[in-house]
Amino acid sequence: MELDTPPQSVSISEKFNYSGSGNELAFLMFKNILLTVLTLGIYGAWARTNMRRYLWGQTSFLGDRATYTGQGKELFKGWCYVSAIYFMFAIGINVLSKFITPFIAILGIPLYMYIYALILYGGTRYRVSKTTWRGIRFGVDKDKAMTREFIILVFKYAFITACTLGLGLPMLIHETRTYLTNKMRFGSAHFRYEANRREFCILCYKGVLLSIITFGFYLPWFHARLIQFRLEKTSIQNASFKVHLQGKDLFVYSLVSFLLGLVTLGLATPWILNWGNKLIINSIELSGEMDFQSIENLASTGEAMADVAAVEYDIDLAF
Amino acid sequence: MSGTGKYFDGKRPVSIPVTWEIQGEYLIIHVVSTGSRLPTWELKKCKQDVDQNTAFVLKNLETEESLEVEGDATAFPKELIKESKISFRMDYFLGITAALILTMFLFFKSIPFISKYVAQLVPYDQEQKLSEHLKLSDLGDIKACSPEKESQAAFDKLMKRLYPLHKDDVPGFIKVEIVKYPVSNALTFPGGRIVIFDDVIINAKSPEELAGVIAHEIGHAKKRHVMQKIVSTLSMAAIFQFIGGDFSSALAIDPSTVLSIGTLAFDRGMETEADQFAYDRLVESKVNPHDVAGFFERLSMNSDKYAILSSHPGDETRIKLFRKKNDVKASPILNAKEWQALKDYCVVKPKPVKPLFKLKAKPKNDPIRSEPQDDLRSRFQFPQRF
Repeated sequence: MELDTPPQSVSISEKFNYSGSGNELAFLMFKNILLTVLTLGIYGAWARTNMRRYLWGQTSFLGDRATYTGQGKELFKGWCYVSAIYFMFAIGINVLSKFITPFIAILGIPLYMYIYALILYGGTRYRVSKTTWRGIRFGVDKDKAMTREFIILVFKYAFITACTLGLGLPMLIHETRTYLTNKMRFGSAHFRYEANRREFCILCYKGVLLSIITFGFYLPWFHARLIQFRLEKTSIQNASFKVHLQGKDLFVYSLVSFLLGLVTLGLATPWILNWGNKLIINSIELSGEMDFQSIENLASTGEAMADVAAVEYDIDLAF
Repeated sequence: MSGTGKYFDGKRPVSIPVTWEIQGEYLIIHVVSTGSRLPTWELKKCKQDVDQNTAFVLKNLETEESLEVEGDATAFPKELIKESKISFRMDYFLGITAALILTMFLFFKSIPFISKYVAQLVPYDQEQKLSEHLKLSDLGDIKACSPEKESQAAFDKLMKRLYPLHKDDVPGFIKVEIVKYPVSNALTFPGGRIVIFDDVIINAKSPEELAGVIAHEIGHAKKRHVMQKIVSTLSMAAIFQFIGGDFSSALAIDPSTVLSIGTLAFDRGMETEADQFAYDRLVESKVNPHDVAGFFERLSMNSDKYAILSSHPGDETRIKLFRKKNDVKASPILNAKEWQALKDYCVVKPKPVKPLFKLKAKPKNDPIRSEPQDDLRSRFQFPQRF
């Protein structure tokens, strides 16, 4: 049935809105921690899902909130697989420790990079595919050829990073982000990431250097610049993102949250987190022409195991 | 039962303001702008979409359409509302906290019992392998003593009285090292490795007193207290890290971890067990435990200065145990000369230096040989050393 819907192509200039409350987040976090400890970690999968549901649900755009559709049991299943693999790996290393020479250990690096690539791709895909807005699923395209292409990309830039003693790391970050963002879509509309690698590398080198010189004081400005760069180079249809976030805002946030965390022995974490979300999400704006009528809902899937592995191994998916 | 909301058709990202009305088991939706009626939903074939905590979203499972209800959702059948909004419930809070405390209590209480049985399952050779990687130098400036032949012979004689005595005393399992370190203490590491700091020997007034300390440490080793500690400490740490999502706890058993655990104090129960073992072993070795009581009496007077006393049973209890009436026909472990040699176990005796030219007259006392001994005697004399 055809509905009487708003105009097909609309000009928008709208900020995202985060409406979470510190008190609600505190209760949710408190409940999650208690139940996770009580169940010896098993509830962790549901705790993470609850948090995401809350954070996604509090983020809205054009008056409609985003939804996280992932389920605790998916993450739990992934958690079981990751735990089993990790323990088998740990036992294997202990059993074979006599035969592991530095040379063999070096040979393990490609294996690590291979796993890293799979986690990065799969983890991003899961998290994105479980997000919906106005009932339309986000997603990340993936098939065997794309996976192979991404793995080769990671290997290539990891090799450059190793050869340049870490100087090539911004290249690795830039290339993986470019690849993944260009594979990302909202319904049938693909995102585009059009950033200049040189520009990103200079931004990173400058940020790291100034942070070292200023004993870390430049870090908030560096982070603000990174968020701006990443989002402002991203677009969908004829609309692009703008970030109204300034280094001084992040500096004040970092300073106050550090002091609050210290004084309250970490009890203020939910309120700090809530403030941070508000600060960043409310500063993001999408402006340009959007043709919502041309966007179709497509099926999206993702591997919970990769998401769990990304969380357990602190792999920054940046999404 | 009616209200307003937003309708999403599940095909395009459009949000349409609607009014809804529940009629029996059906949901009727009207578009606000046109007043047109959308296909009726059967409530049985709907489910609450994810818990949003701030909004009630109903999803039509047949069509992927969804309805975000604005305002109160209590009009909908209760079986459709899976989760309530986040709200602080004191009864839940107290219940969860009480359950948590109870679980923690049972957990902490059960760990020592479980570890006691698990420790017995670890083969002796595995325990010894663990010990092979331990380096005492990691604990500080600890140096193994290089004794003279007589000192070593005296010590071997003392040890022969204590171990092995029984069939279950695995030969070679207990290995005692004496090290130079200015603290009156003794440590037991995995694999029957006992380390005695030379201050213990210096402060002992008889070989029997030293035998008492060593028998106590043998007790720790024989009762597998070190393995128990390793199992309980690591399993507790691993479980807590695992709860926090850190899988690396599976790799926690490394020599440095074992070394740091090995230097932790045993608990009171283990110390009492080791004391009882020491008493029994001394009786079997025909050493009068009464002689050991004197050592503990002296220690009790300086308990704040002795590391060995930490976590040990109360002085009175311990002295009472060693003073217990017995009918041991004791025989001395070492004679005076041997005991003196053992006391000099860690005394460094410099090698005689070859004179570049012959002295006309040889001094009566060799200052190089006698001075350090006298100096050490006075410096380490109980209780001035502490």
